Amino acid sequence: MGRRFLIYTIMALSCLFTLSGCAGKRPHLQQFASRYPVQACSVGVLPLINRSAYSQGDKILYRVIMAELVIQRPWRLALEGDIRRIYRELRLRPWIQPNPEQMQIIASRLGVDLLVGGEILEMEEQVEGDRVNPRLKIQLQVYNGKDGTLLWSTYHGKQGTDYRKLMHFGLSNTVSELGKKMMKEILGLWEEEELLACIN
Amino acid sequence: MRYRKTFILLLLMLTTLHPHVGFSQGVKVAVMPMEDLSRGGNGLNLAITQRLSDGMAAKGFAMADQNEVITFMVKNRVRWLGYLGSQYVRRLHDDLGVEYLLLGSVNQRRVKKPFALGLTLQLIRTGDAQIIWAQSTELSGADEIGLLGLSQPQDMDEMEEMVVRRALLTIPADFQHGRPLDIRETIESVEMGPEILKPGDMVLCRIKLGVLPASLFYTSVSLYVDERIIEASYHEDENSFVASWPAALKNERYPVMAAISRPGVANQEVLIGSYLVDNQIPALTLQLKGQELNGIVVLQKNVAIVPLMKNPEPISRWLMTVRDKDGVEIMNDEGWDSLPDRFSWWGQAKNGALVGDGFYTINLTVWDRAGNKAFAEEAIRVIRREPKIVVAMKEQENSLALNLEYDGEIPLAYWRLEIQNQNGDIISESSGTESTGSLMMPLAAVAGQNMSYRLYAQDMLGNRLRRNVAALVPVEEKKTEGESDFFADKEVNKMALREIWVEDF
Repeated sequence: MGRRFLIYTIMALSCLFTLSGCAGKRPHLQQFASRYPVQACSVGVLPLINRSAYSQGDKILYRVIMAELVIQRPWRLALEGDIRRIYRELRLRPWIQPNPEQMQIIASRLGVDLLVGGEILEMEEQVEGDRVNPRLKIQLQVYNGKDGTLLWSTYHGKQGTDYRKLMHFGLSNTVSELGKKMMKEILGLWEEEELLACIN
Repeated sequence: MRYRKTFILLLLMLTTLHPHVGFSQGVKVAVMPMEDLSRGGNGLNLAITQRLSDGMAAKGFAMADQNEVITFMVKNRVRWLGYLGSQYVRRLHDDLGVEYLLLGSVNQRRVKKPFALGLTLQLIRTGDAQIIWAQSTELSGADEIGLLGLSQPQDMDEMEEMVVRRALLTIPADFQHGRPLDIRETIESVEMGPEILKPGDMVLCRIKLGVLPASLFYTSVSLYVDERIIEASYHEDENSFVASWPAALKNERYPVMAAISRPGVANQEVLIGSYLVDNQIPALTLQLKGQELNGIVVLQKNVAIVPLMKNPEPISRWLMTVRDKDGVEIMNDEGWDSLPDRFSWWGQAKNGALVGDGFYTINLTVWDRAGNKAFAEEAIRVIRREPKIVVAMKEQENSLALNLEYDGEIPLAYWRLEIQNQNGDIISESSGTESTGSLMMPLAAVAGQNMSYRLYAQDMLGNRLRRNVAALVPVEEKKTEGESDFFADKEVNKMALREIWVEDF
């Protein structure tokens, strides 16, 4: 009886490892300051830099990040239109990250505590028969709105099959869905590390 | 009577609890045309916009007419989709009475199998331009929906319907109570310039505030810059606060802070921008890359002109000219963009003609962004003369010697001398790089033949000589006299002398 139980257990574990994806890749966080702003109640997301060949990838991920931030907590989020207008007034190019002085001006104009910038290092959708396997590698940076200094940076890279639960269940089949899941993990990590304090 | 009261009570309870009847009833919502990122930078998707509008209407919202929204966009010159600035959001509130704005983008739309559709939506409260709800919803034909894929959409139409329904499903019924209005009278726009200027130049700043016109009368705007306070005055015609002041004398960047104050409202200080005072003339030098002769670069086909700035900085304009020894400009080139890494001059005037031999100066003038002018010049010499080479013949015992002599200013790069018989066969040849050379032939080998010679030569500047001397007079078989000059003595009139002067430009 005991031997049969052991065999079944081994078989079940083998199936579990075979069918389930390796969703264990966590975002990599790098902190650059010893003290973080007490208040992180408002955020502005800067235009993302798209280093991949995926057309409009920067806009897609930008909108996904905005949605995930709103879902995460009811903080004050600067409108994309306001950020783009300030970029135009300061004659900044959206594909170049502003310098600390420009960050200060943007944050002051928007009245936000933090600025989130970043770049897409890889974004693609590999078509495999009737399935699509998206891949995404991103790097997000968070800046202090008061002085424009880099507070922390997070790298995260995944592909659709990393989220497989069983058979084809759980797979991410679009870059936007993959981006959404990755953003949840990144924001979860930031919360876990207590980087986003907001004391009202 | 008792039943009537119970009925009214039930009705009231239902009215309060049902999400569609409660908050959403009568609340005016506008749907901005959806940006379609799958169709490039200017994509528009009116079908999904209509689906969203219908979906919101089904939830009980009072939808703003789509034509009304389009007219608003035209009137306010909103030429983009997918996002809106807070000033336009507030205008929607004030002008159209819209309380909430739904906008977003179609992130992905794959029309061939496996179908895919991704939407991102934002619901903005127009009263304070705050995003109060957002959702990203996506669906792919490859997704496993339900058991055995029974709920799988069969075409794009079904997919659109499913995605829109899913997206709107998460709009909370009571979101208006979620967060209090957070109206901030912010700066709507700032125009400040110039960004880089010289000491004493005037800085002009125009600030437009996002406050109601009635409130502007009590509002004051002060600018803090370089330990100075500059009051901005309200210009009704521009609906802006305007200030101008002379830039300080010290070369540095000056941040500008605006302080907005109004009775009853806490003062607001905003860093609106900065400008740079620059009085430093750029340190500019020119380097000419080429063969030097007596310390001056000489033109060889073309000359590479390399501008060097000691402290590189962006420039606003450059002008390159070439002048002759009298200072007359013979060509120029200019640009208003970045300074090229190098220029090339091919020894031509503006009309394309080659310039004559002589001394020239190449001048480069650059203006930095503040208008500081820097100047550099270098001399260049043009020499396009063919190398003058004399070929002389001497008879030495039983041999015939052809001697080559060159005493030009420019060193020779190479020379080559070939002697041919009447059949065109080369019977002797010689080459070298020195200014003298000779070629010896036994008299017996050339006796009784009509000979010709070819001379090729090039100096260090690339000036070339190709000389064909054909039908030379036969050498006498029994020549007793010592030496005779091949050209000077008797052959000049008989020789079919053809000299080709080739300049490789």
